[in-house]
Amino acid sequence: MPAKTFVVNEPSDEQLLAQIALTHESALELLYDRYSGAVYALARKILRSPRDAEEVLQDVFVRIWQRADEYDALKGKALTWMLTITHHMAIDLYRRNQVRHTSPLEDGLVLGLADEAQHTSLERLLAQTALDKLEPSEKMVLEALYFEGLSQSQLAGRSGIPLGTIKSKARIALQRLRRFFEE
Amino acid sequence: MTEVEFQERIALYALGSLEPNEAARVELYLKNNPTAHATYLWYLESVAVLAQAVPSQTPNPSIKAALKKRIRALNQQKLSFLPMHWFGGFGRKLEFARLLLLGLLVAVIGLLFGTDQQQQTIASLHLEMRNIEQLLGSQQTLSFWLQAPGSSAVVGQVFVSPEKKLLLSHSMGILPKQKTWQAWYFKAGVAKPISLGTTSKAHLMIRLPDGATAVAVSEEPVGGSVQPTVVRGIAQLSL
Repeated sequence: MPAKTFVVNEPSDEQLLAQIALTHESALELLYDRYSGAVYALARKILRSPRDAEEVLQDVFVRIWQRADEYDALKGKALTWMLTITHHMAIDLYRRNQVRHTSPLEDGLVLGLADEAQHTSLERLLAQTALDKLEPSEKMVLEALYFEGLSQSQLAGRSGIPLGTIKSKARIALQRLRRFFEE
Repeated sequence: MTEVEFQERIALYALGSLEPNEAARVELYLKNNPTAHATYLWYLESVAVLAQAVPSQTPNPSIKAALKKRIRALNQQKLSFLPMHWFGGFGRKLEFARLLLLGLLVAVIGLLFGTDQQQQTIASLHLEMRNIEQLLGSQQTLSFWLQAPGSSAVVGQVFVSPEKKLLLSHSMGILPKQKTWQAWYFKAGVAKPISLGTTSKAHLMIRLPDGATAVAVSEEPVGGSVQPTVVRGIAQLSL
């Protein structure tokens, strides 16, 4: 197996965003190369449609270009900031389209056919491991709320789970995820 | 909203799953309780785990080309006939800048409190302070970085209201008595002095001329100059 190549002195995400705030296009290009796969995959998981996901992908990086100066490294990781933007835009588009796909297999993600961007594979593995440690009901609640854009009431209506239970399961599940990384 | 109610809802808020009226209540709580932001950010990092667990997918390469084209089109709109590397930054409001400026003005008023002449100065300072507060307090006011030419160093900030009132605030200190700061605007590639645009202070409130695409501040002899001598800061305006 070939040895992994490490790039020396690669700028951090925060450094790239600082450069993007100074309108360095090359910094945006580097950030795009680094995270377009993650952003596109998240948008695609929510929207299902490749065309819609591509639209969101572009919009996300345009938003990053326009508002890189709003990112504050003291308030969280750059990737979290970018994925939050992605989620908001994808859910907005999803709700505007009001299209619900019922088959989770059509995009191939569940089957694991997606290619892996080398930069994020370790992070993804850790994230998946953390999710696997949740109780099935907690994981179901999180995924329904996050990837399907359901409100707490909509999920309660669909699943029959009481509203209070959904609130507490979501809270506990997120706390467990965070503690997994803190430990 | 009580803290208990906030704690019950913050996880769902971070997930984007609260109904609009509930989300608005959480946002109001966050606005009134800055320390609660840490809790929100803590949950947001957890939520990001969900996104990071999704296997990455390579998008169509044409998207990158389309994005580059779109960025260039945005840059063209903002446009610059001056070297692009002089400029940078996009506006964002800084409550800190507002408070700092108000604090400076209050300190000046406090020092001057007393005689009739000082009372008149205080009155005009009051008016100036009200104007500045109105400008900074408006949601529609845009802000831009004032940067040293040829570098990314930020030397101040420029605020522009929808009524084209401009507040230029810089951190370049006080000049010697024989010098003054002078403000300029750029239109069609030409630098022109802004009327009443000289000051010895660290801030200047003026009317932005129509069509101005950038403003600058330079160091000039007292009385001003018809051409900029030493330009110390430039802000490109994306209006």
